[in-house]
Amino acid sequence: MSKHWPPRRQTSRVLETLEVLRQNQTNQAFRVLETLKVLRKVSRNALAFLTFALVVGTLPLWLHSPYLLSTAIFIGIFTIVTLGLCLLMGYAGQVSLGHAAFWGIGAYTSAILTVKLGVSPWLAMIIGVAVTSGVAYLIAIPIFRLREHYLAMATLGLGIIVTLAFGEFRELTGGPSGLPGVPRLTVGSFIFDGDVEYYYLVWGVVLLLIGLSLNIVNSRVGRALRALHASEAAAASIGVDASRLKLQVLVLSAAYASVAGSLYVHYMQFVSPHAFDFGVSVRLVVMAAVGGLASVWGAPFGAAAVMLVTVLLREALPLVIPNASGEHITIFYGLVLILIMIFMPEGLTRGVIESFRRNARS
Amino acid sequence: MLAVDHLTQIFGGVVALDDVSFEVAEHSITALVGPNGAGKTTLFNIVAGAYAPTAGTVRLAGRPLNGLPAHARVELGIGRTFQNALLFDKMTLLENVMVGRHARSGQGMIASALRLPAMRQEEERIFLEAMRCLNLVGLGMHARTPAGSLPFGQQRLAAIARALATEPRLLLMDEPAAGLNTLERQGLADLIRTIQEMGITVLLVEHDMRLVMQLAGWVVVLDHGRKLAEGTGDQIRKNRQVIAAYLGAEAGS
Repeated sequence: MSKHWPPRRQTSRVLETLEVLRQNQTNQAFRVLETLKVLRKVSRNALAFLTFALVVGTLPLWLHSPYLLSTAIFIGIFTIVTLGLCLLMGYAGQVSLGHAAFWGIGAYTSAILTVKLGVSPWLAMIIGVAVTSGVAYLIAIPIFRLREHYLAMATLGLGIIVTLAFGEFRELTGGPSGLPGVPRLTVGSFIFDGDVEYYYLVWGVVLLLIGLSLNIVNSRVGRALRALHASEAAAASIGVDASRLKLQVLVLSAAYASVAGSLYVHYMQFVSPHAFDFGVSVRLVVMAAVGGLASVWGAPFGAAAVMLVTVLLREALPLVIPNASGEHITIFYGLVLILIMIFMPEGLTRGVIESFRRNARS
Repeated sequence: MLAVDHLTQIFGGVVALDDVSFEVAEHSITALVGPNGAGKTTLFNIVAGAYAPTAGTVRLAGRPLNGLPAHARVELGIGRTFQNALLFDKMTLLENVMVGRHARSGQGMIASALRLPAMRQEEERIFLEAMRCLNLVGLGMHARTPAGSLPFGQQRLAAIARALATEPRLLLMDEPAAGLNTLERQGLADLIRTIQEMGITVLLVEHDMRLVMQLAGWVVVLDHGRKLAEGTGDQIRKNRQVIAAYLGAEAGS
């Protein structure tokens, strides 16, 4: 009885229409939301890139201390090496303990070619990239067949050999006292002789390489690398050739290091073996770990954080320990690395972002 | 399609496979059954190229596969899914399946870094193919969900989509129904039939005998690394040795 009264036909028709309308609306709203989501995801990298470029571009305008400007140039150079190391460690899952060697090969190739043979600096830079990539390729071929962490050992050995070679081949490298008289970089009649000019050159290269790296990470190759990092067995089961990809990333990171080496040597106008020893390789690994592995953006932050802390320590440490030397700073790097690996295994950048999120939620 | 010939695998004194031979007919659904530890997964790993066999050969359409690494076998048309799905947890479903196109695409690091037109066109094709495979298993709506946050049943389906994206001629499925409920099992059975209708040969390891009998045209029984029997579902059901091995194993477990 109650089921048929009051008659509900009319109302139900209206309700149905309303329901259809509502569904259409939600569909449309849903579609708009989805588009926004996609847009946000695509443009998030672009937005981050623009913001970063803006900060980098305006920095010299208010950074009046010549010392800090010079530090910023070094941060840029270290960022380039760290960028390659982040790709290698975070995406290919391999550690290089001799990245200073690749950096040094680039630097010495540039120095020797320009000083001894009078080659154009830009051409020397390109030859440096070729030589460094070649060395990386040759040492990597046997290693990636063996898998595991043999790369760390091999690069450690390479680092030691290369530093020794820089010191021993005196006619070519000038021996332990180094090779002076490296020319400045020029474009036409424009000479990169001031720090502000050099700052823009170095950070221009940084931005370019960050852009290229972001493109690589968001591509077929980048996806395959991330897949490899998650499960090598599963990646192989869908046709990803692990050793070939890892080899490519090592060569890429060596090429980045070489570019940084050339930029370094034309800034210092001098090169000596000391700048590329084992301690520097460790410092580079710390920069990559602090910034965050598997994150292109980690590189500049890691490089900046470690460089600034080093500067502070150089000022502050002698106040605490009277005879403090570079070795005390190396101990500090070790400590930082251990602490980061324990408390922020995904790096400082990611760690800080996560803790902000956690605080915001709670 | 696939010929397994006198295959033996010894792991440090343990004989995992002992002189196993059988064939998988083209366009068939063949099931590989047997108690735990019978050597089914070992056999899969050898066919897929994860292990090198101690002795014996595996041929795909007459071509010997010995010595070919796993990734090269994918190019020849061998696809596989794992017992525990093995998705790339932090990547989205879409990205997972897009990696499945890796062997069928070729733009390298330099083209990617510079986003050359050829690379962008290929990305578009990879995206469309991946979406097609995701829709096939009914997960198109979850394309942007991180794989690790999906329920296990759906992860399984996504893993099948990822394997299908490699355009396999032969698909090896390792216990696809384990851990699925009855409804999901029926969906899976339909999906496997669809895969067969797409012209893909299916070799399946499965414990659920009802599913095996429902799907498989040919059944191979392994026990303790040896081939115990092979035949149609009816023949296997009536085979005394098989019954003894199964009852024995179940009484023991």
